Amino acid sequence: MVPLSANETLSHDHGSQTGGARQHEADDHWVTINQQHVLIHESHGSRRSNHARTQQKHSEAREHKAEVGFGETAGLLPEKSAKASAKAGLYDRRTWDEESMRELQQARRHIMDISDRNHTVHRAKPGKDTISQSIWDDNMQAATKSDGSLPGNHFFIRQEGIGRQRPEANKGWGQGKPIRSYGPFRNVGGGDVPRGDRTYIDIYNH
Amino acid sequence: MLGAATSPEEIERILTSIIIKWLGACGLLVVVLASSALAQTARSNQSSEAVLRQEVKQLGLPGNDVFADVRELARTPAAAARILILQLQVLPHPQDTIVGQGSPQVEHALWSIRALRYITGGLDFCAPTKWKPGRSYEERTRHYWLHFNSKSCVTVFGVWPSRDLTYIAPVDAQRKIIAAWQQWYAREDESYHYKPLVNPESWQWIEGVDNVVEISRTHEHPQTQ
Repeated sequence: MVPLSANETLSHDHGSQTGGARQHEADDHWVTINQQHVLIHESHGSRRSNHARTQQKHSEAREHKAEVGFGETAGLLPEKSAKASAKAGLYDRRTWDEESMRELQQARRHIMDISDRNHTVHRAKPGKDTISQSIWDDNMQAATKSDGSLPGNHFFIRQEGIGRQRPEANKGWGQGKPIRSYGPFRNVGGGDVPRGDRTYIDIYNH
Repeated sequence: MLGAATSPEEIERILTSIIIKWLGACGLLVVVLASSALAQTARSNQSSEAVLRQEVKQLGLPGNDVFADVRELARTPAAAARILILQLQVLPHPQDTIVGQGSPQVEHALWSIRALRYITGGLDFCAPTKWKPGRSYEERTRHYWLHFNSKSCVTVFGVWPSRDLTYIAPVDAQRKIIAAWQQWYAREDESYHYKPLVNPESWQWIEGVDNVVEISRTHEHPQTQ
């Protein structure tokens, strides 16, 4: 294969050559290099394997993003809808407030976007249980939309009125007003963030 | 002073004597002034050393502007690194997760490492440990953050930024990392090309560094260059 020099031009013409009489197989295509036409033959197999490789890479990138959303927010659930019974199970999706669920998904996407710039994030994969798997699926969905375009470099998760509301001043960030806050959500995970129904995710530039 | 009968030889002898005495006096004056200057420099060095020691001693303690203190230390990086390394100590109770701010002793230790990272341009070490995490969420999370840079070794501490939690390395790893800093300074001394970080992001020195130097299990000298 001859590499192109900087001032060479290349254009693609799949399956046909302008003004040419020859019909080509579907996998052949012409390229024009410095106004000379060259036929490139590519087998079905190699194109399929390229396609599979690209798909594989996309899938891995999506999983890599989903690990951030899962590791940071696995214990969070959307608010319960107004119509839901008081006895409704925490993980019964039919009782989740739709708007709150949309916001949680957006917050996950935002966290994933930040992880493109700030890699100090908690990644985790789900267990085999149904609940973990369903939350993992939510994160995979959010990962589909993550493209690094949402702003901010840090995020902080807090339970309103309980425990830490922002990082300590000596951490060097998170002292001003957040550029965006998501929530409230329900934190059923406990442990690192206090449990409760007023959990927020704050996004900071600095 | 000189009579009319004084011979030229006599005049020459007297002048020579005067010049010698004058030169002697000047020499004495130079010696006195030089000694005084040297003593002044020594006093000044002692005083700046004392100031530096005090600054290091206060590092990370409540009521201080720790960012200003670290920037100040970076003005004399080699001397600051020597004093910072001299006072590194193993932190007891490493299994206790620190929420937000730790005790003054802990904060001082953490900020000593952060200051070293800052003034060396992002240098840090990680060491293998015999510690095996339990199955609890807390233990697994601690394992995750201490091994954040490497699967095979732990840093002195790990930070979970979105929760403001800090995890401290087991004592065996802390000992190895302190020894690594001491060996590094003994080897590099003044010759290290100190290039303090410029406007670094928190993940480049407060929470961690981009690349850590791994200390091998056989205690070999870590290679930094």
